[in-house]
Amino acid sequence: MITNHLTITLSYLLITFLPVTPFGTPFNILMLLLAIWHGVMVYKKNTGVKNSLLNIIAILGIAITVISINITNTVELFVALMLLACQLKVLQATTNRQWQQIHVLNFFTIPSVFLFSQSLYVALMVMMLLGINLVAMLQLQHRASLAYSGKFTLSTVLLSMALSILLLIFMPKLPAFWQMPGPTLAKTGLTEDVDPFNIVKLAKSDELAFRAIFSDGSQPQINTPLYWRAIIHDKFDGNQWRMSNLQNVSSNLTANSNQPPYKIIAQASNLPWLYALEHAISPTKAVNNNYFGTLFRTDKITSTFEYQVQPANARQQVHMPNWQYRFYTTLPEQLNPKTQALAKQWDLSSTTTKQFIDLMQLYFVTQAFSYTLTPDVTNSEHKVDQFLFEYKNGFCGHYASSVAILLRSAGIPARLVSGYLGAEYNNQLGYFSVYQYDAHAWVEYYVPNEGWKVLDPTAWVSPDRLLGSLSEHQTLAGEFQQNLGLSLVAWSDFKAVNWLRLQLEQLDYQWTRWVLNFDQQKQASLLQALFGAKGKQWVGALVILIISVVLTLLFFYVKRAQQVKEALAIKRYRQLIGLSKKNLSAAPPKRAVDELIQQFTDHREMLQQFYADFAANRYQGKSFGKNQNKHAKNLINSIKTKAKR
Amino acid sequence: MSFARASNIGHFKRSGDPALSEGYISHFLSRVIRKKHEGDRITLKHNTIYVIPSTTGLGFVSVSALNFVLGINYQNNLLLGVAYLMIILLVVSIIYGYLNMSGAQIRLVSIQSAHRSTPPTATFELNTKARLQQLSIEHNHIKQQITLPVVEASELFSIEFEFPRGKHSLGRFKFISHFPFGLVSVWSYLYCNKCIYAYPDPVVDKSNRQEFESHNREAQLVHSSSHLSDEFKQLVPYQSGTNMHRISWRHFAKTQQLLVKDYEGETGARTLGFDFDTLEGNVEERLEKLCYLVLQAHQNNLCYALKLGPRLIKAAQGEQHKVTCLEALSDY
Repeated sequence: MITNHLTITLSYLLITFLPVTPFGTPFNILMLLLAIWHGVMVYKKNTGVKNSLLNIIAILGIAITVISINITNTVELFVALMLLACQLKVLQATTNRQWQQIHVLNFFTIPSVFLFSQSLYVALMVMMLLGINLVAMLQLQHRASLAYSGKFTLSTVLLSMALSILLLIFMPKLPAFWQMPGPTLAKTGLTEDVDPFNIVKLAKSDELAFRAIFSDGSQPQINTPLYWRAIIHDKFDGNQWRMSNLQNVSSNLTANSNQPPYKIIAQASNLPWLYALEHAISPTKAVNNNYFGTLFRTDKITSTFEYQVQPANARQQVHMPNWQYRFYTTLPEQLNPKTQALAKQWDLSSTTTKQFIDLMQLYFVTQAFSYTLTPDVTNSEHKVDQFLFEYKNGFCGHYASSVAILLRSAGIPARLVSGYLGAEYNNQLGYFSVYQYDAHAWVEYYVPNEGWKVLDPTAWVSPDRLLGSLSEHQTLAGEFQQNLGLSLVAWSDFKAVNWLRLQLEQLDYQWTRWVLNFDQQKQASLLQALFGAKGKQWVGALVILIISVVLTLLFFYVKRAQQVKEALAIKRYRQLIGLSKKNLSAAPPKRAVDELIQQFTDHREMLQQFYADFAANRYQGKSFGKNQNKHAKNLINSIKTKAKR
Repeated sequence: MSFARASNIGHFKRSGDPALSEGYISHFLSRVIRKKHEGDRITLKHNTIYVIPSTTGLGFVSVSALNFVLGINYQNNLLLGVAYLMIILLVVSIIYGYLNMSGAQIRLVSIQSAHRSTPPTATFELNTKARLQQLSIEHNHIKQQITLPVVEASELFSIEFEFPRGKHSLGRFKFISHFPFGLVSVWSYLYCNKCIYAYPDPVVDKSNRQEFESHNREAQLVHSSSHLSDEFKQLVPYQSGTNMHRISWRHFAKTQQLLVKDYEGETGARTLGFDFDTLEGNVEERLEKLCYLVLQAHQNNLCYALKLGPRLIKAAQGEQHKVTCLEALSDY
């Protein structure tokens, strides 16, 4: 029993130290200490800590938790306090009643991990912990062996899981009743304000950003770079490119019916901004598009979210109003004088925007700029000057930012776009995976009569970066892997590791697609496909019927399994004595058969034969085989038919 | 005295059957249930087993509801799944819990009346076709709850009662199991109309012994003599009810014949009379003293009579006489 108590404490500890639950070091240490304390208590065979002591620890614990977790992160705080309370209750518990309460509460505490992560591994872990909890509940009731309890629990849970999956698929899905605060758990490569000259922990995360699923045949060509637009930055304040004010203002765009729609499953980012190639609109509920043709959701994305993307036509803008022109060419004048001078010089020696861009490209190529994930840190006020004329190394943010400033200095309207570049294609299942390390920034500029165009200066410096994912980038491999640290991607040189990584990734894809994102819409289309429009409304009733049938079957199965099977000889004997007018159930077999012989004198020999067989089987251990059984059956039938006449 | 006794019994009846003191519906229900469960034996099957979620089970349902609300609001399929899983687990527990009890037969085997603190016991036999897990037996006058962890085929178990002195109807036994997981309560009753006696505990009368002896010369023998001091007379055939101490086991070992040692100057010579009214103390104390006297007289194979107020039990001896006297003492 005591080991059961310790496993409960260990489950809390496991949840606390899970990488997806960001409770902070002080809280982790607190839980570790409490667990050690419980361990020592179990070792010394003590139970039950005094309430007064526990109250003091509880108050201290709450203080530590609040310090460890910012008070604004309500969800983390709530789950952490729940864990703490359960752990203290474990320390206090002495009676079965208290343990029962703990076990029931665990059914709330353990699944609360799903608020932070819903990956397959976390789901398996939660199921395992709940299973252990159930075994402990069973053992609390009666002291059966662990093997028995484990087997019983496993079979019960597997059956219940199958049925609850049925319920999950077919029970009508309800919309959210009210908005709940979400956990802050985003590790996104995107930021709303881009400051490339700050040390950015870019490319450090190998976590998935989103997946894109195209219908067969409509996949983008392998050799076209995939620019997934997410955020438009149109104000430069000297340090940062700030997000546009229009980013979250919805706007009308017309669908481009020539291009097929596709689906994107976005991971939690804690930002409302969504991803799409070029300009897009979306028919999915709660997803809007803005003036720039990028998508956003009305609230932050706190769990995986699937949406439809319909490619759209860009807004035709032949002329740019004066105020807009001024807006898109504004720069802080006193900063970066050398850069501004260089842009003015190129402006004089070129007549078209195209020529100006060619001059820029020439400069970057001939001046031996290099692409690196670990650029030199700028220390001057004129950061772009320092980058363009001194260090000459950097990553996408540096190039995009500098080129946008050069363009604006020459009076060409320009803005910065951040999003993701590239994708890893899964051949077997035909979808694209985009990771946080694929985060990218590039430039859009305006040409009168033609509209906004894409320009990626990073491509001049590092053309490899344009295609595929950063993980497939050869020249940067070393640097990239160093940045990632311990991760399967870092070992993708080894074939086996890479194979394993891709398999796991595929599994996670299926899990995300079919389990996590099974929403109202998917349910509706599945039901439509399975039962047609008419049958749909009966599905709820049907599922309840199926579940009742399964449970009834279970009832009879268990009942049968519980009954001890009667030996064949005894079964026939019972049938025989049932034919008698007297109640012979209490009589010994010999006397019962004699009684029968008196009643059915015609069958004397057969009855004697039967008794001989019966006695041989029951008392001498001989077999009651086919022949004997046949004989007994004949006897019974002939007595019955005789009685009818 | 009789008034006090009546109220005592009345009190016992109420507490023995709490449903009687409740409202009309529960009164009606308890009568229906009582009718169904009356007797010495019961087979637990669909119409005699009751199943509802236990307190823990209700807590389980509310946690499931909480998970459901969270699952809906976070649009989190996994939390929803856990909520559904919990409900199904509860239903499956009901099935397992019911099947665990069903088919079991409970039979009252014997009732052993005894002194209040011995205590009186009732023995039951439990027969099951399949394995029965975790069965508890509850009764209003039970020393401690009895729990049978596992019953494989059949098992005898005794229930020790904590009755006040008196004649009691066995009343209601509740057989309850929380198997599996403790989420459900599965139970049944057995109403037993048979009576059990809680005899008074024997107490040696110390304070009044002198006076007692002078008043009642024969009573002295109760304390001073035992049959061993008498002279052996003869062996007579055993009659049921004769004190087992007097059987000559040596003869039994040799001849397989039960013979009883008869002593000189024993029976008939002295007849004792115990009178309730001549003793001192309150009713219970007097009964306890009488009980001691009866036991001692019986042990010494004396012939004794008992007078309890208006009731007189004529002088006799033997096991049956002792039981009659003790029952009379209990029922006073």
